[in-house]
Parts: sequence; structure tokens; C-alpha cells
Amino acid sequence: MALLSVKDLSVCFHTRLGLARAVDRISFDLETGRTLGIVGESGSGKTVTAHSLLGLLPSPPARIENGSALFDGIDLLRAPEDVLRAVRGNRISMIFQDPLSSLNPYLTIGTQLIEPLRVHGGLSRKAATERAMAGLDEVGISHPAERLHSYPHEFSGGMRQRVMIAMALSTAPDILIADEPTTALDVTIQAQILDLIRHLQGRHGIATIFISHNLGVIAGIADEVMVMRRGVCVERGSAEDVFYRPAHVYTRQLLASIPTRGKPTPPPAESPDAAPLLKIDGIRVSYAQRKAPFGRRPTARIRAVDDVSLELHRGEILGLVGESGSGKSTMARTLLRLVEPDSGSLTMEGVPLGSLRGSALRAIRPRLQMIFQDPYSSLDPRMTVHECLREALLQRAPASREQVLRESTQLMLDVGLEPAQIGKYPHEFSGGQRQRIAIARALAMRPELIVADEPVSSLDVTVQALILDLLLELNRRRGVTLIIISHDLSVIRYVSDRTAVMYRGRIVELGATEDLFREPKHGYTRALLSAIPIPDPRVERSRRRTFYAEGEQEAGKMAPSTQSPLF
Amino acid sequence: MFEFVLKRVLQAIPVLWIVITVAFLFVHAAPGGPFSQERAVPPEVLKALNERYKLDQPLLIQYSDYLRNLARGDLGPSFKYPGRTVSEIILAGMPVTFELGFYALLVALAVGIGAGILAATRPNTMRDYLPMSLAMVGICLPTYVLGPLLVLFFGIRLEWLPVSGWGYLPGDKILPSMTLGLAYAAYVARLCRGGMLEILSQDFIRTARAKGLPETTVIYKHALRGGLQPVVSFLGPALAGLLGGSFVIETLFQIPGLGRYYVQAAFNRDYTLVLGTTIFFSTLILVFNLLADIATVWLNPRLRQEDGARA
Repeated sequence: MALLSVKDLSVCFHTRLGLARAVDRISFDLETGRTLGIVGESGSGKTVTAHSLLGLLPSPPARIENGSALFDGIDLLRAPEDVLRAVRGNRISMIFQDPLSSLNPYLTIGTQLIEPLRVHGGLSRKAATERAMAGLDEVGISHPAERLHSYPHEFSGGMRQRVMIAMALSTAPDILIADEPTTALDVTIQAQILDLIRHLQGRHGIATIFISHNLGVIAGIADEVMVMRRGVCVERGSAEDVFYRPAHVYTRQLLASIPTRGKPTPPPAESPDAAPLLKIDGIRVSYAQRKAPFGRRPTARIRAVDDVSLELHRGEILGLVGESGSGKSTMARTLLRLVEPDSGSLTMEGVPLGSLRGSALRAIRPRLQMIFQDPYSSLDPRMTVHECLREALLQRAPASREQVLRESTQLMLDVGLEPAQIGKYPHEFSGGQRQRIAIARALAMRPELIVADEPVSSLDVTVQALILDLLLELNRRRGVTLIIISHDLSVIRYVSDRTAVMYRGRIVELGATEDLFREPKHGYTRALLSAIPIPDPRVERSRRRTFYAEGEQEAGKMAPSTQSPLF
Repeated sequence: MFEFVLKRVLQAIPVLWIVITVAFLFVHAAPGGPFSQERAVPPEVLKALNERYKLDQPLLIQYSDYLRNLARGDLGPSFKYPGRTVSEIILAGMPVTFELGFYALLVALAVGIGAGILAATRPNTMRDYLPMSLAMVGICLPTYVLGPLLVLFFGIRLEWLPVSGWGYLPGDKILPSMTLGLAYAAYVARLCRGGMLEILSQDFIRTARAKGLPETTVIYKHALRGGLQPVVSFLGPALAGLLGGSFVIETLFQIPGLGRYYVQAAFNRDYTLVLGTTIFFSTLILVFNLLADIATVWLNPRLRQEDGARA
């Protein structure tokens, strides 16, 4: 008899447009100590499935239509609220995607940690505090006694997720549900958190439901895998079966869409003696530390970019990779003169960009364009695609109405959109289509250089590959020089000719992409490469990761621990 | 924190100066003077009075004299209450006005927060619509309409409560406090509902539920503190409004508070008393706004720490 047995679970949402089926007849069994990985793209119903097991769905609009979820003789889908509450956070715990928003900012870590112990275990405040300290210690947080009095915002993202894990495991649950627990974290931190979950799960014999959109993560942690798409389970089986012998077309498509195979075409021929398109020399950028409330004087400056020099050749694709806070976005903004550097020079074909002012600066702006991460917020929701493109086209040169229409239609075709849809508003398009609109808008200026800041990180994997292919095609056909910024190494590897690795404001390694991936020289690059999850269960489970810890400790939040897992 | 308070206090000085100057000019620009009455006063007497109170001096001299005395903490003598200084009158009326304001605030917070939580925990049901519609009525109804209505119903029709006075009969403080407080309860209810709804949709509320906490703990321990932030920010302006509202209420219910003196002083052109009460109320409003800001910072650990780290 399985620990948890879900049969024919169906969930509907009542919307203004009628009934939407989010989950459609999902069934699975979970055995003690085993891990079920649920994988799928956004909107596939994986989170709804998890939430419905704990009665966390907002109802209305959600309604459980059908099915049963038997856990220790209790049907979780039909149990009364008080029975469910005794299970929730006690025998079945959950950790969430974003550890920043999932912890209460108004209460100390300690207060939040002891709550489940006091409510479910009936422990005294003192006993609960001791257990909470032991829990923090177990997830690798040093000085637990002091940390109990800290508020969530005093922890880094990875540390917060450790706190969440400690909280979820404090009541020794039978089942842990982890909903995208590492998605909001950097890859190296992700690797640490995954190791931690695996370790604790093994030690306490907890069954886990692990939800992720990332096949590599699932490959490393799941015994069994369920692939979901549009609320339906398309495939279920052992990790080996699903990864090595995928039966369903969609699973194969998912596996194939992961950009791992490297750039399909060799880098365009460039004459080495030609002058570089863009020359960056010794750029430094710093920000005033966030102002205290009520306009106090800033007391410190944070160096975001520290002495970066780079040459960019016409027609090449440069990948800029780094984790959050490494300065890559600041770098991009500096190149476009959206941020003023403290020192250093920036020259585009001999023209010093740094000294341009007013109309001279405006004249050069069209040659440098940018594509942003979030196509939801970077397009004006009140402008149709046509208005958006027209604005860009007219900015470049005056043109008649017919010319504008002809050119914007051509742009739509170039980025793979239906020209008939030109009168629509951004919200009527999907995420991938919106990113195509953003690309069309950048192209309307006929730029020589496009800086794409995390162009695919808010998109589903199957869509990511299509957008990357589009960027590659633009590079080949139009000769546009590209700087692609990403935290995702596989994206960088897929598109870029040369790759620069940024760490703490500096470029620590720069080289031809394939060389850099095959033989990383810098310790940080090696750590980064070893942290990427690979969608291959056998490889992923037996991998040894290397850690890089130059100044790794986050202001006393964590003892520096090199070369060893953190528990 | 100390630096912040000091800065705000220093900022208040020019504000007060502008208030004093504008009030001074307005009072003196109004036709008539403290000694003009329906029955004409003999010109010699008027002249003597004006000389006695230096009202025959040029306005600029009067103004600078007033400021000089003010700097020494002297608000001057009252023109209409011979033998009493403005400071004495303010000190006498203050406790009553404060008491009224305090009770009214209690009514506003208790009713407002209660209704706000009630509405926010069951949004878009009758439990939401009913209190919120009442709140809308409360906002639309001015106190000088609400007051007489309450008097008519509870005082005259039902004969439950006394209809005037303050501290003379048991229960005579209830109607004035209710009248003054209910209008603000309506604002508080709407702000509290909005704040709570926003917090209740946050991820950390889902975490609290996932921990298996009882719903009351989720609401009172996890949501209320953040949900009350808009209410706390509103408290500064609300207290100012309460004091302003007390002028009407004190007149309506025959309460011997400061507000009544203020209104009478304005009618009587009692220059010093008008100015004195104006300065007093402006100072209070500035202080309350400062206190509300401090409370906002203190309630939010994030702001608190950032400020503490730099202090």
C-alpha cells in the first residue's frame, strides 16, 4: 500500500470565460522514501496538483471536481478543514519557489520556525526553540541561536530556502512537497540546495514530490518522473525510462529542446586585423547603496562593474554569463549609455561614446539596441504592435504611411510573426511571441549591435530554443552583432562564439565558447559548469560538484566552507 | 532614529512660522476688531483699549512683537476673557478636547479595524459588501448631520443617552465620541480592508496555511501587522482631522473643550486666542504626523533595521 495514492484528480477553475480545467485525471502513487518528479512547462498544472493535495487552492475560483488522494486512511481532497490542518505542515510539508516572498517579512525566523512545532507537536516555547536551532544547524546555518532573531530580509536567497527547508522538516513529515524550490536561485546555490534536500531526504526517509520545469534538476533527484502538459499526465515512469526511452512525443520534444549541442554553424569569418566594432577599456561602475528611508545620505558605494575591458568584433556573438549580482546587467546598460561609468572608456569604431551628448548621442542610439528579459513589462500595454514598430521606424527616419506599413509587415515576417496580427496589443500574444515583438522593435532601428539581457529566461524551454534560433538567424542573415547576457550556461553555449564569465563585477574568464566549456581555466567557471544540472539521471546522480568560494561568505551569514557539502 | 526625529522637528519650524504668519494676516485682515460690538463703544474708550493692547501700532510692529513674545512662550492675554491669558484658556480646554479625541480614536480603530478584517477575510460576499457600504455612508455623511441624527435617535426617541455636556451625566461622553469617531471608522475600515487583502494574497500567507496553522493565527499573527500599515500611516492625518472635527462636535454637544473656544474666538476677533489655538493645533498635527511616521518605520522590520544600521 502506497504512502500516498492519488487517483483521477481533476481540478477546475471558474473564470469569466467559463470553466477551465487545470488538472485532468491525474493519478500517481508515492512510496515511503521515494521521490516523484513532476515536470512540465508553465500552465501544465503541476503546481495546482501539489496545492490541491494540501487544500491550498483558493476556492473559489478553484474547485476539485473529481478524484481521491488517500494518505494514511484520509482522503485529502475531501477531509474536513481541521483534519487537513493536522496533516498540513505536520505530516505533509511544503516548500515554495520564492523563499523571499514565502517567508513573513514582519516576523523573525525564530517565530516562524517554532510555529509548526508548537501547533502540531504541542511543544513548549523552550523545547520548540531548541528543536528549531537543531533544525537550522542541520540545514547548514551557522550560529543558529543568533539567527533565530533575524528577519528574512537579512538572509540571502539560498539561506532563506535553507530556513524554509528547516521549517518544513521540523515536524518530521512523511512527505515533502517541493514546488520549484531552486528556480529563483543561482545555479551554484541551486546545486547546494539540491544536495541538501537529497541528503536530508535520505537521512530521514522522507517521500518527496519534486516539481520543476528543469529536466536537469529532475534527472538528479527523481526516482520516478511524471511529465505534465496542459493538465494531463502525458508520461509516467522511472527516471531511466522517461529520460532514456521517452515514449511520448512531448517528452521527446522537451528533451530535445534543451540547448546542449553547441552552436550549429561555425563562427562567421572575421578578419582579425579589422578594427573592433566596440572597444571597452577599464570600465568601472558603482552605485550608491540604496538610500535609507527619509533621504539619508548614502554611506557606501557598491561596485557593480570593476575594471572590465573587452573588444567586440563586427558580426560576432558574445555571451556574458554570471550569477545574480555579478554586474552583467549593469555592464549591458553601460554599453548603451543608460548608466554612466565612473571611469574607463567606451569607443564604437573610433568614436568615443562616453563623451557624446545631446543630439550626437541620440544620433548614435539607433545603432545600439537592447532586448529585455521580461517581454510582459518591456512593451507598452497601451500600444499595438504596429504603433510600437511605427514609433521605432519614424524615430530612425521620416517615412510615409505606406512605407511604415510595408516595413513593419516585413519586420513581422522577419521575426516569424503573422503580419495580420500587427493591430493587436501585447497582452494578446504569448510570452515567446512578445519576445519576438521586442526583437522586431529593436530591428526596426537597423542596429549594428543588439544587447539581449536574459532574452529567454522568462520563457518555457520549448520556446527558448525557438527564440535563440531566431537570434542566431538574425546574426547570420543581417550580420547584427549580439551580446547575449544570461545566467544560463546552456543558453550561452548554444548561441555565443565567445564567452565572458563575470564574477563580482569582473570578467574572470574570456575565451572561445567551446574552449571555455571544454577546458575552463578559472575556478569559478569550473564551479559554475559543475553546477549545471544535466538531464541524464545516471550522470547527474553520480556527479561530483566543485565549489568556488572566494569571499563566498555573505557578511557573516555563513561560515566559508570550501570543497565540502554544507552539512 | 534620533537623527530622523531631529530633522523632522527642524523641518517643522518653518512650517509653523508660515502658519503663524498667514493666520496673523488673516485675522487682522478680517473686518472689525475685538472691541467692535453691536452697541457702539465711545470713541475715547475704544482708543484707550486699542492703545492698551497696542492695536494702534502698525501691523508690522504688532507682528514682530507677537513673534518676540511667542519665542518666550507667551501667547498674550485674551481680548475677550479679561484677566485670563491665552495659555490658561488652552490649558483649561485641552484635557476635554484630548479626552474626546482619544475616545473618538478608540471608536474609529475598534469599529474600523473590526469591519476591515471582517470584510477582507470574506471578500465579495455579504460580509464584505455590508460593512463597506456602511463605511461609504459614513464617509459621505458629515458629522454635523450624523451628530443630530444620533441625538435624535438615541437621545430623544429612545432616551438612552444624554444629548449634551461632558462629564455631567453618566454616559454623556458616548454620543459625541461616537459621532466624531464613526466618520473615521469608515476610512479606517476601507484602508484596513485594502491592506489586509493585499497581505492575504502574499506568498507567505500561503506558507502559513501550509504549516497547518489555524486561520485565526494566520490572520492575526501573520497578516494583521502588515495589513495595518495603511491604517497607521493614516493615523497622523486622522488625528488632525479628529481635532478639527472636535470644533463642530464641541459646539454641537455643548462641550467645554478647546474647539468651542476656538470657534467663539474667531467670531469675536479675539486675535491672540485665535492665533494661540491655531499654533497649538498646528503643533499637535505636526507631532502626530511624526509619531505616525515613526510607527510605520517601527512596524516594518525592514525599514527599522536599515535605519538602525545607519543611525
